[in-house]
Amino acid sequence: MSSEAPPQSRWQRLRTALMPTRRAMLNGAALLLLCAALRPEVPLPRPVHSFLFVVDISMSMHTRDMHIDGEPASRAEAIRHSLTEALRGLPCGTRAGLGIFAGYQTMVLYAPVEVCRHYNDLASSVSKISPQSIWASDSEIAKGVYNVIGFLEDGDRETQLVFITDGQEAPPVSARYRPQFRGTPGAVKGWLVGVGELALSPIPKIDDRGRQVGVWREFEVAQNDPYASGRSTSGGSEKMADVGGGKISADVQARLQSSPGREHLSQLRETYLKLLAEELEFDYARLTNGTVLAARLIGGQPSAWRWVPTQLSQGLGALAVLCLLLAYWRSNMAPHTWALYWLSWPLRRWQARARPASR
Amino acid sequence: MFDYPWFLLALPLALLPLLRTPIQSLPHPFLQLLPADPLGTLLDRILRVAAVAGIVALVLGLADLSRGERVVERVGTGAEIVILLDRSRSMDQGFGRTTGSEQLLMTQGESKNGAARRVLTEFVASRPNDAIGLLNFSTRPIHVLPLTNRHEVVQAAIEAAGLGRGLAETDIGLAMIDGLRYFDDRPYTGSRVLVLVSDGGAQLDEVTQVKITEAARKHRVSLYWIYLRGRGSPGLKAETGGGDGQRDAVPEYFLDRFFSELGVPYRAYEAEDPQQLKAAISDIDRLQRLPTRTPEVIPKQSLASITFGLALLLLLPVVIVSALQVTRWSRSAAH
Repeated sequence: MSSEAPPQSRWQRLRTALMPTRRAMLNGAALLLLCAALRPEVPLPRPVHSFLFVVDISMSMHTRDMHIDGEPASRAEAIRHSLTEALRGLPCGTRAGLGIFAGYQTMVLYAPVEVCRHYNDLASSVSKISPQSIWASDSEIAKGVYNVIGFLEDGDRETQLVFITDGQEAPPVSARYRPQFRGTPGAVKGWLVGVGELALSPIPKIDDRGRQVGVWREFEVAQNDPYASGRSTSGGSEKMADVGGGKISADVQARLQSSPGREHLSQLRETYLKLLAEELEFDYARLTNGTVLAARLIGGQPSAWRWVPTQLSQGLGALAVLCLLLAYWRSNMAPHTWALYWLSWPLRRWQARARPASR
Repeated sequence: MFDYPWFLLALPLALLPLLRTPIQSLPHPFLQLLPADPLGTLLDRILRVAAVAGIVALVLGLADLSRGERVVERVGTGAEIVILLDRSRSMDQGFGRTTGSEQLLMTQGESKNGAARRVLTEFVASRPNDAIGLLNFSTRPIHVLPLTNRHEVVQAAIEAAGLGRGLAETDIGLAMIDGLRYFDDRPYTGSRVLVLVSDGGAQLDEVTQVKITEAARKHRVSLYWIYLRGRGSPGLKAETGGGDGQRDAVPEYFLDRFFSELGVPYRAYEAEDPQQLKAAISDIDRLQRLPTRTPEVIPKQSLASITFGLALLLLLPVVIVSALQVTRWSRSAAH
């Protein structure tokens, strides 16, 4: 049909057809905006995170050494507050599950689910986490952590554990008889999150109805590791377990932060939590506020790369802005010509200024 | 408010339409010859202002303007079901009826916990339109989920009940009181069910009995007890005779009698009989049904449709004018 037209002419016609005019740019911008407003979702490979939040609900969580917006609050209240904040800060597509810890056991309330879809349910169950629902009065934290790592190791290795605790073992542990981790460090990834102040505070004693009835006293709390201390009938010299075996490192002993005589007071045992985190190849973070926690968790290593339905609106909108710029600023130029034109703008300015001077 | 606030730095771009116009100009030999065109000037101003607003909307869209968290009321049609799941240590033991001599054999069959999860998974799957809440209990009640229509998380919670060992003792009384609290401050919907899943009965003290009775009658709750009969445990119905006093010494008989005298619809089902469970599931359908209203917190939502849509609407006049523009002095224009 167009065989009579010379090849150059055809090429030129093609160039004219492809060259965006202001009109084409405006039409393009309008089309892109229409697409952006329809909010298309396209699956793109993106890093996704899956977290299992486990909250220590042992009695020391009643300790009022935290603050919410400047007001004094108990550790449990602070956790509820900042965990809700953290859930809000996690991007859609992230999965979050919840568990509680008391005694020596972690109880998983539910396995991780998508946070945006289940925000209401997640926020509601976080708001009901309370030391009032404990089933045992001890707080053997290391055992609780190992316990839940075991669940994840057997099932869902992609999920990272986020264990929120003050690190106060009750009864206290000794370097020789403390619980040993039997799994593979690093097989399950995770975080230990410390809550509380480094200074000692009394632990409120709360009755069944949630009223405070004084504080825990020195003689009401186990001050020593039960394995290393004597039997009650034996005058203190006879030990519950054989003493001996390997050497214990003085460094580890110091880092356990056991404080016989002051175990009825509570503090954030950060050195101990850092020791545990090192042994488990976990990360350690201190709970300040939920948004910071969410940012740190998301900034960490992703659980997996997955095809996630992704909103394209922002990208389409940015392209629309570019089209508008082309339409308004300098028309009838191909985008690359336009870019070159503006990149060389300072040069032309300089030339324009230099010319009258040379005259 | 904004997910990408740094995009707001592009706001000065909105001044662009005031400085320039995307409509192509045509050379005219002598502009002074052209008559003044007040309508054209007005049109030009309108176009410029609309384009300024359009670019502002577009930049807000890029910064991802979002609406904050808010509470909406979700209207449903199903029943409201609160499940109380026993997580005590005894749930780790074997499930099923055995004769006396078999009790001594430590055969590892399905645990009561496993049976409870199997039953509940099926139960939840067959009630897709109902709002379901979940409360675990051992020594104390443990709130797991509020009444929710999103059953994926309910199933995740039932599955998670299989992790680890059971916790400690059982206190059915406290769990019943807390479970009935789910219906506090909710409009009556006609179909409220409390499902107790437990492997044993309980003796309840007077105060607890009164509290449960009052709450159950006030909220008009139907009560279902899915009883997981362990090896060597008694059935719910006394197989041998005997006076009430004698039978009440067995916690299962006591609880069954207490529930049946509660003054609300009550059914007991033994989990080992699949027929009974099917009956339990379909029994809920027979309950009167009013629409349910559940308040639900919606996380912040992107307003991209609105911002980009508005930008499109405001920039459309410029686009249309540009489409209608005269690009060369044609013969018709010269006329």
